[in-house]
Order: sequence, then C-alpha cells, then structure tokens
Amino acid sequence: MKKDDILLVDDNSENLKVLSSILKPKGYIIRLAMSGQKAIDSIKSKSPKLILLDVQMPDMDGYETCRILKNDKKLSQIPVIFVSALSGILDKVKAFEAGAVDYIEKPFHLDEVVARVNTHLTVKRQQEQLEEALKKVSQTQTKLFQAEKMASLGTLSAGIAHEINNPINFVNAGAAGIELDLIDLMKVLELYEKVDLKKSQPDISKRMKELKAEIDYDFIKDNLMSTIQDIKMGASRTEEIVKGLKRFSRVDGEEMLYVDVNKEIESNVKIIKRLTKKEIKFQLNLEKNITIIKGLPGQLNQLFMNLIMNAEQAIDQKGTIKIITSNKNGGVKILVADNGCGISEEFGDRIFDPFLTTKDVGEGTGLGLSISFGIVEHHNGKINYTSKIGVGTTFQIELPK
Amino acid sequence: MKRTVLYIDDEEANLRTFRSAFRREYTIMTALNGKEALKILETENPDVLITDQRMPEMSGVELLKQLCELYPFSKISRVMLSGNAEAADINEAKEKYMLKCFLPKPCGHDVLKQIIDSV
Repeated sequence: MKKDDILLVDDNSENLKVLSSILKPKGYIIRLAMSGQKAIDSIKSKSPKLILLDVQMPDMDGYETCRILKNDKKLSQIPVIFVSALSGILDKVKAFEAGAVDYIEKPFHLDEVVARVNTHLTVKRQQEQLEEALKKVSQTQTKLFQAEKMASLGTLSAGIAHEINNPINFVNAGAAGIELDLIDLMKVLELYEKVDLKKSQPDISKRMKELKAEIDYDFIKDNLMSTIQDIKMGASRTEEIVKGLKRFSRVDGEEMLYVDVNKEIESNVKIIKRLTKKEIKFQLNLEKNITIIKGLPGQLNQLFMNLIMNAEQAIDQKGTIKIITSNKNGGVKILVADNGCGISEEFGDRIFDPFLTTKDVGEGTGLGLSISFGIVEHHNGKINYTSKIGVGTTFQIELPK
Repeated sequence: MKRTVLYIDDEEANLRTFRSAFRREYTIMTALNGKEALKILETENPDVLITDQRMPEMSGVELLKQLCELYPFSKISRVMLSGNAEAADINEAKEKYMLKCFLPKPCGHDVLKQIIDSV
C-alpha cells in the first residue's frame, strides 16, 4: 500500500523533531513546514493526506492558516488536527470553528498522537472510498437512464419508421406521376396556344384571355413544376429521417465479426475526401499493430462515417481533421479531432440526444450523434468529447476487444 | 408491346400513384389484396408481379406461395416492395417461392423502373 504523507506545521523545530520521531516509525511519510505560509505553499504544490498544525505561530497563526485552507475548494478536504499548548475550551472551539477535525493538547502522549492520526486517516480514506462509490453509482445511473431512454426511443422509432414508409411511398410515386402527367399536359396546352380563336370563336377567345389574367396563367405554369420539385424534396427528406430512425432502432440483424478499425476509418476518409468541397487536410495517425476487435462492421462503419462527417461539417472552408487510433486496455481508442467551429458548452452531453441539431433546417436530422452513441453503447464502449468554440472538437471513443 | 405489371398493395393510394407513375411504360393491373390478385391471375398473365408483404388476410409471402402451388410453371417475375418485412420471410420467399428481388419501401421511381425492366 502507498504510504500516507503527513504535513507537520510548527515554528519550533524542536516540536517538529519530536512529532517526526513519533510518526516516522509508524510508516508515514513526514513533510515539514515552519510557518503558516510555507505550509500553504507546500500543500498547494502537493496535497498531504493529513495536517498537524500548531496554533501559536508568528505572522500567520494556526487558525488563520486553517481558514485559508478551508476556503480553498481543492484543499478544504484535507483533515487538519491542531496541536497546541492552549488548553482552554474556547481555544478548542475556535479551532473546530476554523475547520479542524481534532485537537491535541501539548504536552501530548505519544500513543495518543498516533491513535488520533490513525483514526483520522482511516476516516479520510473511507470518506474517499464512499465518494468514489457514489460517483460510480451516479455515473451508472446516468448511463442506465440513457440506455433505457435509447431503448424505448428505438422501439418507438421503429414503429414510426414503418408507419411513415407507406405514405412516403405514395407521396413519392404520386409526385412522379403528376410530374409526368404535367409534362404531357403542357404539350397539349402548347398546341392549344397556337390555335387562334379570335375570329372563329370570339366569345371563347375573350373569356379565355380574361380567365388567364384572373388565375395568373403564366405563373401557374412555372409554379406547378417547381411545387412538384418541392414535394419530391420534402418526401426525400422525410425518407432520410425515417432511414435514420430505422438505424437508430437497430433492427438490422447484423452478425458480430472481426473488425479492423483502421481499415474502416481509411475507407471512410477516402469517401469523404471525394465528397467534400472544402480544403481539408487529413492527418491519419493509425496504430500499426491495431487490435482487431469484435463488432458489427456496418454499425462501426456508420459510427466512423458520422464522426468524420461531423468533423467535415464543423469546418468552414479550410481545416484539418486528425484521426488517431491506438491500443488501450486490451481494446482500441479512436480520436477524431477537427479545428472547426466547436460545440457550445451549454449543450454538454445533450449533443447525444436524438433530434438535437445545431445545423440549419434540412441539413441535419439530429440523429447522427445519438446513433453513434447507441452504436458505441451496443459495443460496450465509451464515447465522449471535448470542444471549444472557434478552436475545434475532439471525439474520443473506446471500444473493447 | 408494353410489359404488364400486376401490383398488389392494401393501400389504395399506393395503387393509384403507382399507376399514375408507370402507366406510360407498362400496362398496369392492381389488386388490393392477395385474393383479388389470384382472381386476376386466373385470366391474366402479367410479366411482373410486385407485392407488398404486410397485408390483412394474406401476406405477400403467402400469396407467392399460393402462386407457386397454383401455377408451378408460371414464368412471372416476382418482386416484393415493402417497408416492413422480416429478413426471414424474405429469405423464405426467395428460397422457396421464386421471389427474385426485395425492395425496401419507399422506393424511388427510377430504382423501381430499373428493377421492373431487369427482372
């Protein structure tokens, strides 16, 4: 076990010597400070596990030193035991008010010092273990909640996707049919326009002219075609969303296979290089002996595609995308970093929520990252990110073997 | 001569829009369910049959099965167009009931035309 370090603070070197001689043989690492200020400097450079603090010191006394420590968020957790010749009850109360956990009166008995030091180190250790455990519980809870949310969303998405497919299909086919009909109809109209009715049918000719003006005939001719294009675009956008939802629900019965993440990444980079209209430099730093992991190739391929596409979209005109792979904890670690616009801090982990998008309407479905999250989760991996507005974003993924 | 396509789907809008989109290229026949389709097949002999999978009473796979039993020598090309079909059903139909091709719904006009022309 690692040895605990204790900081002894006293302006009297003789006192320091005595305390050291008691504690050192018990297996503690002893650090010394001869004033309040020196103690604070020493603690700031490295936190000790426990502090034994003299009360009466010139310049800064023990109470003051303790108060400074307790006001510092990082240092306030270190237990402080006062060691003092002052034996009045008010002195002790003052010490506890300043934030001490205990008070040892001088002259002290050797065993008492050791016992109290031991007790407080044990309490401290247990407290740390408890905090660690609580943190884990809270993380697990968050993860569980997220996983459950994703699962129920998946079921819902699958249902919605199936229901929407039919109507999109006939909107698609209907628009295509109308377009073809209109093209034919326009041919007929064109011929009609060549017929001169002025002499043979003056009444009809007049009425036709009036009607054309009334309904804005020329506008209708142009408008019909462009409206059909809009309908088709609307249908195809809906189709994209439904496709995203279906992936989200992970209905594909893909088989777990051996996957070389380097190869998947390289093939995606190739595709994006071809697609992008921006000036993007790709820096690939791929581990040569990358661990082959077991996973769903289609899903992992999509994961990398999503992340690299996001990086591409974050870059305005010119930028760099760095991709680094390495072996970690028996699995692999993948970093995808861009020097693009960055993600605002306010989003936090909500960027993994479905339908949250920072892109303009129609440019993103807001499903990419939540699908990515689901894929990583499905592979028992981890995904997180760091980002700074105007500097860039780095996604980090860990996938187990 | 135009090829003849029989399209089966329980959604009437799908039948109408299919006809509207493809009537120029093919002679279109439509049926709202498997029973109607079998009735048409008693007298007609289309080149291509396109069926939905999820339909009340008789599913697409069930229709293909009956087709094989009733007309074992029919050369009609069989396509399935569905937004909600199980991989197992599709595979069964491909292996046993002469299904040539499965298309996920929605399906674009061009893709569908390509398939109809190629089967």
